[in-house]
Amino acid sequence: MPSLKSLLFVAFVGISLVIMIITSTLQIPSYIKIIFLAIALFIDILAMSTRFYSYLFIPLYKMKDKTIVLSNEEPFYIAPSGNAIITREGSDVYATAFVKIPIYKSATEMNEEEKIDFARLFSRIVSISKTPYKITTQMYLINKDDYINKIRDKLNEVEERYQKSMSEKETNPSIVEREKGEVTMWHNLLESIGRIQSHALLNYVTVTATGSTEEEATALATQQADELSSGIGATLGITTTMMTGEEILLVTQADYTIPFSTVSEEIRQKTVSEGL
Amino acid sequence: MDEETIIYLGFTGLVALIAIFFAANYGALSIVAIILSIVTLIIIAIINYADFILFPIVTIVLGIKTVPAKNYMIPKNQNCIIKNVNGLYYATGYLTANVYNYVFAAERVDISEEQKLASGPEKWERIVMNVKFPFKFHLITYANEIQAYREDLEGKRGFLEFQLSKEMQAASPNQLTIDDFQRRINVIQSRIERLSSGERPVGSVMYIESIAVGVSEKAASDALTNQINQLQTVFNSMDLSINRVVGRELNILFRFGYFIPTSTAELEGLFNVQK
Repeated sequence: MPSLKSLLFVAFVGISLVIMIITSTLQIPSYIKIIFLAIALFIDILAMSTRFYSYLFIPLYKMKDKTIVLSNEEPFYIAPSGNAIITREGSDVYATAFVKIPIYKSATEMNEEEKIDFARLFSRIVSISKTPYKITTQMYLINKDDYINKIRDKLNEVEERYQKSMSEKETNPSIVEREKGEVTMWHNLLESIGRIQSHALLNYVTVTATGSTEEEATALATQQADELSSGIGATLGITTTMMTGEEILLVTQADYTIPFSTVSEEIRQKTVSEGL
Repeated sequence: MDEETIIYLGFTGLVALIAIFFAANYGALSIVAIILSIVTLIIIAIINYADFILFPIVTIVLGIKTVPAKNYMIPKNQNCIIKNVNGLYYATGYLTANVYNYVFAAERVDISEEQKLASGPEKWERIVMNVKFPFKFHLITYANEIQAYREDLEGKRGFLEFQLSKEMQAASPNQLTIDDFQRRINVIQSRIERLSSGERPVGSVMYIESIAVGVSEKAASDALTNQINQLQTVFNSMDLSINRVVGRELNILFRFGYFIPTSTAELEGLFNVQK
């Protein structure tokens, strides 16, 4: 069955040709002919654009407020088993599984021979499977959200206590002084944590499989991931593991790569220091 | 030129050529008809070879944004994907990292392969040490069919040898051109020899992704541009051909974050892959 792309191309080329032939044979004023020619040539350009942009034609037709909506769905959801993500493209179901490759070696610790050996082993990984797969190295911010949130809660708590002590006239001045010191301590701690970003590096492999159902696609993807995992593990002499849940989110979602509280604290401090 | 390109360029170009052929029917405005047809031919060529230039121009002029998925947005300049999470904006951008230049322009086959292999991990670590923001280096790889790949290489080698002999027999042969042909032939020859030694041919697509955060769409997008410029500088040491991805391919790479093509044909249909 011809695809939408081919149908649109044939239709546009056909319409363009028909308009052009009819216009050039009709006995009408030249300026009207030119208008029709311009329309025919515009449709011809549309025909060419179907090569790359056929997916845009229907959303473009439905466009509102100068916004083309290609999809209003979440880009993926995590499979019930937790070890793959599911994406739907039309009637196709894609399941993608992720394998973590823990490499703790550093080139600075290797001699020339070891460097060559390591590069050779990596080259072997690149050609380990016949089906396409993706090898990724990701540098991300270490998630300090929980820690920052705990410090923030503690800071709010001591600030509240300090304000309360300040407002009560009968409170011992030494207690107020101690609470003030506590506020300063938590404040300094929050500031020092938020000021520096801590990075980490993660290597992983991604493999995708299609199926008619979610379960079938997930089973195929995890099977392929297992094969890759064993191949890579044996080649590099390491223990590879399938990624699950939050680990998958870390490599697929921007707000997990740059955690919200970790970065918002840094932005807040930057804004304060710039006097904004 | 592949089959699909021939069909698309052939048919659409033919329509514009027919318009030129029948220009006389437009009387006094025949010159206008010819100009319109030539402009159409130019636009068709741009769409085919450099749509990444034309598409952002159209979206900027018309002020069109694209929503590839829930909570994501591609701004009108088509150079990043923005996600809004609780009032913070995350901008994601991509760079191609093809090594075409490395193979065809800068690779010197006389340098021992050992040296190149040894310098790889060290260069990579230096890059990682110099980058102070999140980024990802992706390498999509797939196995090629050995026999077809070998035939393809032999065909390329034959064509280059023909060009070389033509240049050598020319009235005034250019030494630089001869050297270039010889270098390319050597590269292909070394690949054929590697195949003979049992190495499996692979195709690959490489790209770099970076994420920046900001309190507004513009702040995130500007921070991303800054990061991408830095990445372009640091990755220069790897001798990669690096270009920022804009337009249609941005959406394709965004989708690659969630699933990759499951067949070689599908992958080859989306990008010019390196073999």
